[in-house]
Amino acid sequence: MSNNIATTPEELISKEYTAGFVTDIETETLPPGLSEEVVREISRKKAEPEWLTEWRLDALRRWEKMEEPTWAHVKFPPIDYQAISYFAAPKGDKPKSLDEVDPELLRTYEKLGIPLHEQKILAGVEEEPSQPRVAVDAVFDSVSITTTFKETLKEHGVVFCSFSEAVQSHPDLVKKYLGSVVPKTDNFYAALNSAVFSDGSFVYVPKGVRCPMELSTYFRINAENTGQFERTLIIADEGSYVSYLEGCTAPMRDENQLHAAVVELIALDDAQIKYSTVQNWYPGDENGVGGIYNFVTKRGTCRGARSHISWTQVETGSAITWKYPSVILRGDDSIGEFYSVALTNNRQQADTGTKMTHIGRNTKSTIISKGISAGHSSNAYRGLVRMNPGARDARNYTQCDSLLIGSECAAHTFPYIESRRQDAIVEHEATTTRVSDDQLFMCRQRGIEPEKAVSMIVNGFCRDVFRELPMEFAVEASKLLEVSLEGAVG
Amino acid sequence: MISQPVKIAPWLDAKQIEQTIKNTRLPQPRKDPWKYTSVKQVLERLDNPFDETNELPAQNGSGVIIGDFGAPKISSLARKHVNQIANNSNNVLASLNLLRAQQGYAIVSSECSDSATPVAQIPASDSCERILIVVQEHANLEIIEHTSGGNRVIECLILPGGQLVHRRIQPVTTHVEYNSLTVNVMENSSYKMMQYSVGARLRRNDIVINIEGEGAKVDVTGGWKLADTSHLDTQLAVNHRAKGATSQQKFHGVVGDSARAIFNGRIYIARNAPKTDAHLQNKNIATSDGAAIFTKPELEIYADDVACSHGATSGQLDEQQIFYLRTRGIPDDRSRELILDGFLAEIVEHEEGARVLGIEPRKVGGR
Repeated sequence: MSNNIATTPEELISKEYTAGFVTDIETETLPPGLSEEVVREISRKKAEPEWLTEWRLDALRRWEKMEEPTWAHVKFPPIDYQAISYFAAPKGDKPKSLDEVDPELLRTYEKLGIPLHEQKILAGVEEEPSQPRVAVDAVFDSVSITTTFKETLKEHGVVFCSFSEAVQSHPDLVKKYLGSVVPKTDNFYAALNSAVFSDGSFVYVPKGVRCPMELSTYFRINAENTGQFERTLIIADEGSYVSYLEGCTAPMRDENQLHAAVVELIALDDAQIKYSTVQNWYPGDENGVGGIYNFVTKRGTCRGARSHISWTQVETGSAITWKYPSVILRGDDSIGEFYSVALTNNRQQADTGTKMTHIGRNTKSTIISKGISAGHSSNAYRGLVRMNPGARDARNYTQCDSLLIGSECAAHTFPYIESRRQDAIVEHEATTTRVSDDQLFMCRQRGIEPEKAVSMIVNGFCRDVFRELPMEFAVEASKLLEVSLEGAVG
Repeated sequence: MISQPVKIAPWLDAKQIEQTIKNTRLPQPRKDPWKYTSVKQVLERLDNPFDETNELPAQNGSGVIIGDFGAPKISSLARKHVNQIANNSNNVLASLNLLRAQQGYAIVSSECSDSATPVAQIPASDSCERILIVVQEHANLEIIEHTSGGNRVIECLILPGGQLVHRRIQPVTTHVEYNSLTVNVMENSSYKMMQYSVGARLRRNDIVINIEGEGAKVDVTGGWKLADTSHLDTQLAVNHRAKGATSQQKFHGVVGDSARAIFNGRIYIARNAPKTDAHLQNKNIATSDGAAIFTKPELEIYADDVACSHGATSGQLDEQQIFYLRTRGIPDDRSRELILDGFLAEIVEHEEGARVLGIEPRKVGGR
C-alpha cells in the first residue's frame, strides 16, 4: 500500500512514519464528552431505527458501571473519557458518488499509497482486467467515505458497504447478528464501542458464493481530540468464502488518541473467513509522546460445521496495543487459526494474543505468534486455549516466539491452557532469544549492512506468518517491519 | 500502639504484622494467582486453630543444627532472616502464618562440611509451622520434607557455594493444605528440588525461587498423580536477578477421575540478568473426561542476551504406544499402566517419590 519504501540503510535510518500527515479539511465534530444525549445524537445523525438507539443506550448504561481492565501488561495514564469527542466527520452531506467526494480526501488516500489501480476505480476509470482487484471501504474518522466495487459485488449477491448503510439497507441481518459474537457488555472497551460506534464495514456473503475479490477497509483517524470507534460485522453464509483486509493509519500528534473497535465474524456451515490486518497506527515518537491507544475486541465464531476462521495480523503501530482476535469453535470439525507478528520499538507497548474456545467435536486450532521487541518497548503474548467438555478429539497447536533487539526491551508470554477433555490435545511451545551473533556475522561477512541484516533475519523469523497474508499485504508487511525497526540496531 | 510479640519469633511485633496484612490487598478470588483455587477455603483453614504441635525433627548425622528460633547458633540467623526472605508485603498468607504459627524452627547446615551430605527430615504435620533453612557457604544439605494438610511456610537461604537438595513428598490428605516456599539462591550455589504429590482435598504449593547470585543453578522437577476429586495447585516463580545463572523446571502430571491439576510456572528475567539460560516444561496426561488441567507457563523477560523456552502439553495416552505394547502381548490395562509409569518415571529420581506416586521402584532413574 505504500509506494515510497526505503531500499537502502541510509534511507531506512532517515525514514519516519510516512502516514503522519494531517488532512486539512472542514470537520463536523461533536463537543467532547459522553452522555445519553451524545449517544442519541450519534444515532440521530445516522438516522438509526429506534431499537438500535436503545441498544446503544443500554450499552452506555452498562459501560458506566464497568471498570477499566488493569490486567494487561501495559502502563498508561488514566484516560479521561469525557475529554474525547465521539463523533467527527468531514463536513457536508454524504457524497452520492465519487465525483462529490472532497478532492482533499481523495488526495489523502492517494498519499497513503492505496494502489493506483484502485485510485482509477475510485475515479471511475476502467482498469486492466489482469490486475487483482480489491474492493475498498474507506473510513475517515467516524464515517465511511466510499465503498468501491459495490455493483460488481452485488452481481454476485455479496453485500459490502459501510455499517451505517447496512443498518438502512439490511436491518434484519444487522439486528440478527450485531452483538451476537461480542456482546455489548463483553468488556469495558466493547461496551464503550457499542454505545458510540460510528461506522465500519458490513459484509454479507450469501450461500455458496466465493467472494470474487478481496474486500478491504482502510481506517484513517484525522481529526484532533477524537477517538475512532468502528464496528465491523462479517457474515459468511453456508459454503461461502471471503478474504478481508484491514489497514489503518493516523497523523502524528503529541496527544494519545483512542481507537476502540469491535469486529465480529460469523461463519456458518462450510464457510470460510480470512481476516488480515496490517496495523500501522501512529506509534508515538521515540520518547513515547503521542500515538494511538489501540484497544480492540475482535472475535469470530465458527457457528457451522466445518467452518473456518483465520486471523492474520501484522502489528507495527500504536503506542499501546490491547487486542486478542479470538475464535469460538462451536461447529463440529471447525478450524480456527491465528497468525501474528507484533513488533514494538521505542516506547511502544503491546499486549496481544488470541483465545481459542473449543466447543464442538473434532475442532482444530493453530496459533503462531511472533513477537519482536526493540528499543525500550514491551511486547507480551497473552493467549487462552480452552477445551470444553464437549470438544471431543479437539486439537490445538501453539507456537509463540519472541525476538529481542537491544537490552532495554522486554518480551513476555502468558499462555493459559484449560483442558477439560481427556482426548483433547493441547501443545504449547515458546522461545525467547535475541538476534544471534552467528546469524549477524554471516550476513556481515557477505557484505550486508547491519540494519539490512537484522531486517532480513527478522523477516525470516516472521516467515510463517507472512506467507498467510495475501500477496500485496505480505510485501507491505515486510517493508513495514524494516521501517519500524529503523535505528533499532547499533 | 502497644507492641505484642509474635509467639514463635518474639523480636517481631504482631501488631505491626497485622497492620501490614490490613494494608495489603487480599488475594482476589477467581483472579490470578487464585484463578482456579478457592482462596476462601485456604483462609478458612488458616483461621481454624490447629492444636497439634510436633516434636522438633531429629537430626540425622552431623553437620546440621536444628532448633527453635531462640536456640544458640540459630537466634542471630533467625532474627536476620525470618519474615525477610518471604516477601511479606505481597504474601498475606505467609504473614498470617507467622501470626498463627504454633511452631517455628530452623535447620542450619554447619559451615563448609567436607563429610557426607547431612540429611534433615521435616516431618508431616497438620499444624501451622514456620521453618527457616540456611545452607552456609560451601556447605551441603539434603532436606526430606513431608507435608500433610497443614499450613507451612518455609524460608530458605543458600549462601555462596552452598548446595541444597530438597525432596518434598506430598501423600494423600483429606485436609486443605497450604505450603509456601521461598528460596534465595546466592552466587555459585545450587538448589535442586523434587516434589511428588498425590491427591488432597485442596493442596496449594506456592514456590518462589530468587536467584540473587551469579552462576547459580536451579533445578526443579515435580510429578503428580491425582484421582477422585483431588485438587492440586502449584504456583512456581523463578526470578533471575543475577547474570549467568541457569534454571530448569520440569513437571509431569497424570490426572484422572474428577481431579483438577493447576500449574503456573513463571520465569522472570530482570534487566541485570543477561546470559541466563532458563527452561520450563509441563506435560499432562488426562485419563478421564472429568479431569481438568489448567496450565500456564509464563515468561517475563527484560534482558536480551538470554536463552529461554517453555512448553506445555495436555493430552491423553498415545494410542500408538499402547498398540506397540499390545502387539507384544501385554493386556490393555497393563499397557496403559506401564506408559503412565514411564511418563512419571521421567521426573522421579528418588525411591520415596516413586512410592508416593505408586510407580515401581525399579523404574526409578529413567531420566
